[in-house]
Amino acid sequence: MKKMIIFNGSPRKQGTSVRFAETLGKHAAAQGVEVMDIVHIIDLIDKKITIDMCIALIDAVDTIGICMPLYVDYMPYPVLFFLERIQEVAMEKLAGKQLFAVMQSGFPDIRLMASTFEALRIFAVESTMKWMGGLAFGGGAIINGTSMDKLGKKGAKISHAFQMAVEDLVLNQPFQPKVQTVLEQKIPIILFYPLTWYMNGSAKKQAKANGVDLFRRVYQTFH
Amino acid sequence: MKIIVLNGFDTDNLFEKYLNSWFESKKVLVANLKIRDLELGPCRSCGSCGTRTPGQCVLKDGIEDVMKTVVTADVMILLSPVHFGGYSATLKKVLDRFMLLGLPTYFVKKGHLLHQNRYGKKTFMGLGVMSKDLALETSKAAMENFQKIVEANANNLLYDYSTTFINDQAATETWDQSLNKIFTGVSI
Repeated sequence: MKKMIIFNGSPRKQGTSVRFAETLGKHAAAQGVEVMDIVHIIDLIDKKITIDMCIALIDAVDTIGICMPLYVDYMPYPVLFFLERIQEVAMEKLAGKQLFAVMQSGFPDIRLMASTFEALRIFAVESTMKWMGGLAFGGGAIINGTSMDKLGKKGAKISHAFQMAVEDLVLNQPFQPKVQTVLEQKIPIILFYPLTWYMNGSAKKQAKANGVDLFRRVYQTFH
Repeated sequence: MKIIVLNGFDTDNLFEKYLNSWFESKKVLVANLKIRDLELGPCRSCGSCGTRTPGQCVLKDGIEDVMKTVVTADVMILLSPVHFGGYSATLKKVLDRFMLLGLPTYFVKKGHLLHQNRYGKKTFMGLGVMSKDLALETSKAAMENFQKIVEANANNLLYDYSTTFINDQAATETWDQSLNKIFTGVSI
């Protein structure tokens, strides 16, 4: 029986990345994969768990997944810290295991996630792992930590994409392009303009309600 | 021109020392932020810096001192060992907090949603240090990816950017040539 562990790369333990990890775990279990755990990488940073605990879990599985948000155009610091430490102390334990990632961003634009997937591919090559691919979801802000089963058609579509992804993992084959196609929300670039207008208006309104200047330069000191 | 080095190395190393002496030889004052010596935690994604405390982090972990230095810079050198074709975790710890340099408002440019910057235009200079043979296929892919990340970070804040790679196995003359090349046309 295939065994899998999923790491949550978000500092938020009830956010969209965790919901994605849970959905993947549900489909994996339905397809006969034993999901060992969903581990919050932030607990490693906060010293609630140790790298040895993570390595012991990794040692027991064939497949490692990482669900995470896009932070400043790349993977978040805790995920990088985790990858560096694992490669430093236990690279030999990674050999031959499958690695995949799911990344989500608040924006509809998913193109910037490619650099994270490429870095994970290089990590996999260096660690003699099998890179299964990365799945990108734009529009995480709309989900904002809601379970897929409470998201109607949108949730069903995401869930279906993850089911397809798990099918590929079970067959030991990299994610097929159609998985990304199902997951992707097709928002034409032309709609970015009204979206921008709406988001900017909303930000200004919220700042006004909070009684703060949105454009202030807090850290600028004059001598 | 004010230059700040955001030093993403975890340990003392020869290139870092060489870079400091190179700036001294050019009589350029540079602020060197050794991130490894700072008591900084991760961004917690609380969202406060968006519209509750715009441009200000609610964490009291030393980020205030970092930001007060960073906002004065004209050029920020993103010095990092190239790890998997990207920044070191140490450098990314600071860069994750750079939402503070952008406004929570957006505009569309070339089909991308971008932030407007809060403190005016600056320059990111990515300085990636490779410890492997630069001719290796994975090293080429790593350099290409590193370059793309620097470009994305700069574009997202409407900054200028450039990227250069140093091989830490190379002779210091080669380092010197690379550094001269980076600063060609830059009045330091």
